[in-house]
Parts: sequence; structure tokens; C-alpha cells
Amino acid sequence: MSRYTRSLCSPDRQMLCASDGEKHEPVWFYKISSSEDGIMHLTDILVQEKLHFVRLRKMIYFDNAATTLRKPQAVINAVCQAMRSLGNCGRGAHEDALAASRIVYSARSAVSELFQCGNPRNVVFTANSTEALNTAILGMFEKGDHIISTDMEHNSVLRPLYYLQRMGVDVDFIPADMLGNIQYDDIPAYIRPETRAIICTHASNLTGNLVDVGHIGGLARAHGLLFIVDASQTAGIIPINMKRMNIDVLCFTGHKSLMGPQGTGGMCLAEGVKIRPLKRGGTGVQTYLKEQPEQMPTHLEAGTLNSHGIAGLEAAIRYIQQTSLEKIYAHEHMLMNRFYEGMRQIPEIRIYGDFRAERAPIVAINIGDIPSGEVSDILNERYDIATRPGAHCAPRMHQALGTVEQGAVRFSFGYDNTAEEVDAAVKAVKAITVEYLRK
Amino acid sequence: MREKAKTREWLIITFHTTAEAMAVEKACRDSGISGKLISAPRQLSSDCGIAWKCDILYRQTMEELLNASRIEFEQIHEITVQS
Repeated sequence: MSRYTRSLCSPDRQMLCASDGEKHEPVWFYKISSSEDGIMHLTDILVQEKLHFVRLRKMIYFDNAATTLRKPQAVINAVCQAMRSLGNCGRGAHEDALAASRIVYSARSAVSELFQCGNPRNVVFTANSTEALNTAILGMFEKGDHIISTDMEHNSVLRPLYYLQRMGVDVDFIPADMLGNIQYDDIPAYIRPETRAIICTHASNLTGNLVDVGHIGGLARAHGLLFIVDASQTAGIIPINMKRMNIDVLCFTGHKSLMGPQGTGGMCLAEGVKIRPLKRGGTGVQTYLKEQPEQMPTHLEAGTLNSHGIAGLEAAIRYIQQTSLEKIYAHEHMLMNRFYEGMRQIPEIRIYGDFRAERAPIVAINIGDIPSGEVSDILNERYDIATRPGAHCAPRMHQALGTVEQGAVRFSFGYDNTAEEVDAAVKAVKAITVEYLRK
Repeated sequence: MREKAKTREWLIITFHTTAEAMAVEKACRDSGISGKLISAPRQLSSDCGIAWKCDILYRQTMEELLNASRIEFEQIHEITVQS
């Protein structure tokens, strides 16, 4: 720190806060100007101090299930470096194009390794989970087919399925109970000769309840069904092994628990799985062919890839692997349990979901009958705590929980959150409860 | 007296996709096989714009590598270049 000069905090000199990834203790820095060009070189500071996350505003962010706000500095560095140096992946053999092609291929390898896909060429990059899920759901079925899904799904699964229903595909949804769980024993009764696939989330984005995808995958394999999994809430914190779990198509997003940039995501296909392309267009290969090339991953990747974002995604996966999923899971679950225990002490609080088993780090609550949007706005405006109220794009889950009218306030925890932040949120919820319900 | 033209023989491997070309480059780097990615000569391929070029002495090694790494390719060409 000696080579930097600290300046006083003023409107034009924003205060910076960086948290140490190891201890999760917030460490505060003032905006620093270098002696030579007057420009702050934050990267230098981070490298010197070995800090993992940077905070540009002192607030409490508990909306990590929507997107992780703070990315590891390694991710930011990788995107910046990529934006300075990459040409277009697959478009030419000059060094800049090859640099992009190499990074994209390296990212495919990282994704394949993380999910035990078995072949980097079966990793397809998309803009997000929604695009991956649409590609899979709209590209594998015909009129007369039957699909089994669940009440726990996000609209990124539900809306493509509802569209298929209008096209003559039959869809059944395994109902969720009041705890937000599905009953696995119910599934076999839904399987019939026309059934082609089971499509389900790995964890509810509303309750955080986990689905035993290993169990369902075994069931799907035993009945010769395709198994498509939405890993939007689990990729990067819960281990996923496509082979062991018998997953045929795994869809993921890069910007949530994987801690990568928005605009990244993808799908991993088991060997031999065929999907019709959702998009057709330039690929840099087989130019004179009128159809989309049949070979993977080009078959499902028309148009310029987001190489800059993918470079960040690769850095994010490497960061997670270096840190270890177990360590990330343990920290986020410590925070989740701390918040859950805090909520249990307040009689007016209703908590949704099942906390008896392994789960995604989410706690959804309501305070009495106060509308969820109102609670979330108070938390934001008065306490600078970011949460997500309302319906969370999960209509069937809210119907199952009986929260269609009120919605729910979702607290979702990330790797850079701290126990002190959780305690502040518990205190804030208590204060709101006292003010609105006990006076 | 005219000097006899020197020739050199190369192996050119063409691919259907960029991902296959990248997989070959990585596999060769990992195995210590020298070579480089080049723009695929139009007369050899209209598929992937990128091809792998290495010394023809690597023919058997490359075939074994492609097979062991389960990397699909379009074709293996042997070309002679006059220098």
C-alpha cells in the first residue's frame, strides 16, 4: 500500500471496498490516484493485496440467485484482456482470430471438466440458460410426444413447454407440495409409451430446494427417456456429474453461481444426443452448405460467439475450481443457515422451502401479510439491502406455495457475502416486523 | 548451372469445425508435436477455414493421436511444396 496515496472520501472520489476472499472480512480502501497519470489502477492494488472481489458501493447484496453482482477480479481481468486482444472465434487463421478460438476451446474444456460432459466438442455456448433450454426443448420433440416436467420450473422451461403444448406435444407437471418438494414416487405413474423426456430444474430458484437429479436420471435411463436438466441455480456450487447422473442435456448460465459475465451460458450434450438448431447462420466453416453444419458444436452455434464473455466464464470456472466447490458451498450455506435461524426466531415470518436437506443458498420469506414488494423496497431504501420480491418467474411454484398474491421476498447468498451482512439483514427484518405488525 | 529446386513435404489436416482444429492444436502441443494452424487451402477443403500443418514425418503419429483423442477430421492431405 505504500506506493499509493489515500485521498479523502468526497462526491467525486468514491469509496471502494474490497473483500478478502479468504476471510470474508471487508477491507476498505479509498479511491486511489497514481502519482503519474492520475488514473486509479485497481488491478495493481488487487494483485498486490491478493484480493478476490471488489465493491464499488457499500450495500448488502442478497440477490445472487438473479445474478452475482460481484465477480472475482480474475473474471474482470480476463474480460478486459479479451476485449483488448481477441479477434473472431473461427473466422480465420490469423493470430487474433486464433487467440479467440483457443480461448473458446479452452472454455469448452473447462465446462466439460466441471460437469463431466466427457467431450469439449459437446459443449455449446449460448447467451444464457434460457437460450440453451429453448434450443433443447424446441429442438428435440414432435407432435404426439409426451414430456414430464415439474411445478418447480422457471419460466425458461415452462414457456417453451407451453409452446410445445400448443404444437401438439403433451406435457405433465409433477406437482409440488407445501414444502416445495416433488414426490419422486409419483413419477413412474406419469410414464407412458409416448413419453420421450423428463425435464427438470436442479434447484428451485424460489425456495432453493434441490431436486435429486441422480435419482430422476436413473429413472429416465431405465425407461429409455431423455433427461434434460436446468442447472441455473446450482452450477458452480453443487457438484454435477452428467455421466453419473445420466443427464443427456445440461443447461447452465454463466452469470449466477458460476460468477461469470452476463451473456454467457450454454449446454452440454451427452454423446449421440441430437438437437435441431434454434438458429441458423454464419459459422466460419462449410460456407457453401445450405444447411447448418451437422458437426457439434457448430451445429448449434450460429453467429459470432461472445468470446469476451466466454473468456470471463473460463476464468470464473478456474477460480471456482481453485477455490473448490465444497468451500464455496460451505460458506454460502453457513450464511443461509445463519439467516434461516434468524428468521425462525421471528414468529410473524413465514419461511418457504425444505431446510432438512442439501439445498441451494436461498431463503424465501414473507413478513405476515405485508406485500413482498413493499418489504423488498423498505429493505432497499432504508437498509440498502438488495433482495428480490414478487413471482421470480416461477408461477407454478408460487401456486403450490399459495403465494401468488403476496409473492415472497427472496434472499440469495453469494460467495462474497459475510456473516455481518446476514446479521444486518436479520436485524432489518426484525425492525420491519416490529414497526409494521407490532405497533 | 541451374540449381535443382528444393522440395518439402507437408501434412495438412482439414476439419469440419473450428473446435476440432483447436482440439488438434492442443493435443499436439500436449504431445510435443510441432506444427501450426493455417488457413485451409481452398483446393483441399471448403469446410473449416483452419487446417493443421506439420511435417509429413508425423503422419503415423498424427493418425494415432486423432484416433486416441477421438477427434473428427475431414481429411489428411500430403502436399509437396517447392521452395
